[in-house]
Amino acid sequence: MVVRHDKSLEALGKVSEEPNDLTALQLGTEGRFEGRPFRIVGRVRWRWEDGYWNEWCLHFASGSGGSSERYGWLGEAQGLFCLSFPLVTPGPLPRASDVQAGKPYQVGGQRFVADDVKVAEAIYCEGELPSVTPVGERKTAVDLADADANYASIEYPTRGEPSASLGRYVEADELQLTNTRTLDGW
Amino acid sequence: MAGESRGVRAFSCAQCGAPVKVRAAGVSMSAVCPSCKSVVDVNDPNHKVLSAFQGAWKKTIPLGLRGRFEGVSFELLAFLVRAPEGDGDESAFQWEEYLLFHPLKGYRWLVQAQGHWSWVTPTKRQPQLGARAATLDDRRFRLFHKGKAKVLYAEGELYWRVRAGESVDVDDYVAPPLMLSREAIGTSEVTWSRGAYMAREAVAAALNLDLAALPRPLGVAPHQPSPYGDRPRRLLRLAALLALALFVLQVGSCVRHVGGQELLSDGGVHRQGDVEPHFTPEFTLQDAGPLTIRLSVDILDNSWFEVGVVLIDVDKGTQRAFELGVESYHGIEDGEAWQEGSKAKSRILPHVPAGRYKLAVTPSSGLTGGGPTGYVVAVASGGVLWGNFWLALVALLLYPGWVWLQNRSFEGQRWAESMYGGDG
Repeated sequence: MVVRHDKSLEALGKVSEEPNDLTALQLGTEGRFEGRPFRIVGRVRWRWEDGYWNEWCLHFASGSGGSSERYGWLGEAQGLFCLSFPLVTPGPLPRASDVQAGKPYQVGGQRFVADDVKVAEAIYCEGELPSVTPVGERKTAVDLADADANYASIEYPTRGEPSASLGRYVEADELQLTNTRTLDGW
Repeated sequence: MAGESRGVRAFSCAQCGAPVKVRAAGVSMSAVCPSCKSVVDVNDPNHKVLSAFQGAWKKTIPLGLRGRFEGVSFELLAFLVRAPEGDGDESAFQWEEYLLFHPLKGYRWLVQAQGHWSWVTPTKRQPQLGARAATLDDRRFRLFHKGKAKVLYAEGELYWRVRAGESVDVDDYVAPPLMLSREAIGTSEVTWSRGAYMAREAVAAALNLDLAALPRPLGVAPHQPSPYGDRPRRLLRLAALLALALFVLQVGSCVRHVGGQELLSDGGVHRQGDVEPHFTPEFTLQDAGPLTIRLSVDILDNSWFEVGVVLIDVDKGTQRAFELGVESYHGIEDGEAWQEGSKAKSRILPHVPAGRYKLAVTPSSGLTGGGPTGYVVAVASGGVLWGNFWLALVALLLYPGWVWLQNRSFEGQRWAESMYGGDG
């Protein structure tokens, strides 16, 4: 597979060296989600005031279902994984300034409770990404969940319209990951 | 590249220069210098000092150990001592928390309070909140405690920038052996975690530690499973089923034996001093079964009347003897009239073979110097005994009742520690 580094990222000259973060995932890691095979093709690493998380870009082999999304995101924060797909038409979203952790919101017609509101900055990108995420870009990221571990996120970029994605929290086991990074002792 | 040292980093403490090692780089945010107890920012280029802890706490488990939990190997990354904030005596209620990590499973906490252990898994699922209760996976958790928890001490590396003395709002809900905890930092972050009570032996086994190294549990933990388990409920359910069966049998017996026909009604008059038995006419019991013999007297004034009865099988000559007595007293005490006793009494013989019978009746009376006493002895087929039923019922409930009481006392101990105690 050819990994296409995003030209605009390189142009910005801010692609830092690969972080030495303790993760079992890497470009080329393969897995399955609800029967559909995917491969990790890219990553954006985000930093917020008190931590980091990875957003791994998943490329799904185009299956028979024509409507299936080709790209998904696997969020990895402190060993918690959530897999989501961007909503093409997110519908009405709350205003960034109104969102509070612990309060209920509708995303994509489903009811969720916001549990995390963070301002984050992209600090590292690698691989192939469906859209340009320059290092240094900032967003307000809201994580939402419901009682059945469904997951939604709303992202408010500093410029432009908010976007949303829907998915669910997953156990690493159920993704049947292969070609993961070998970690000492684990 | 598969690196041996992936995630491992070492640097010098900005405060004292001692080496600080980080095992989960990129995930851990702060680390405590093992030498001077300064909290340093792992990701700051200069490893800025954020805070510092005082003193030294004795750990039950050494850091850096790996233990097998959930079938995989978790590494112990940090040790925390927390205590309720606001209470004057912090040392009395403090508890130990060990932070463990696995790259694909994430973080877990092993918590030790008063010698009781919990295996705590953070969950993103949002429980449904009710009045003093939270529901997750169709399981109802009762609110046990609401308060603030404060970090008194830390060692190792943590996924947030820990500050000495920082506090969070904690609500604990219990459904033994599980506990659901909500920790909130203002309005920006709410985290839920699900703790499972873990036996001390299981903790020792998972970490390959000597059991004697772990403190003995004191009192009852909020989510400690009752030693009686679901036995009280199972036993009571079983007892209820058996009681129902017993009741059905009794009702069956009623249906079969109640409403028998009268076989004999024979009267007599007893005079003081009579000792001769009175023989009744013969009667026939068509089918084997219970027989009810009833004695009644017309007038009984502050006295007793008793008959010795012999049931004689006319054909076989077999006999069965018993006594039947009535008594009736009345009077006035403190201006109130009272009365006790009754002028009639029945006796049920549960199993009487079919046959021809007669009775020999020998009365005796408590009347002294009184007139004659008229009495009637009646015999009817059928009759239902209730005594055995009640006895069996009591016997049936004895053990389940005892277990239920024991369990209730255990639950009482548990909820005595809660500010939301009581039944519910």
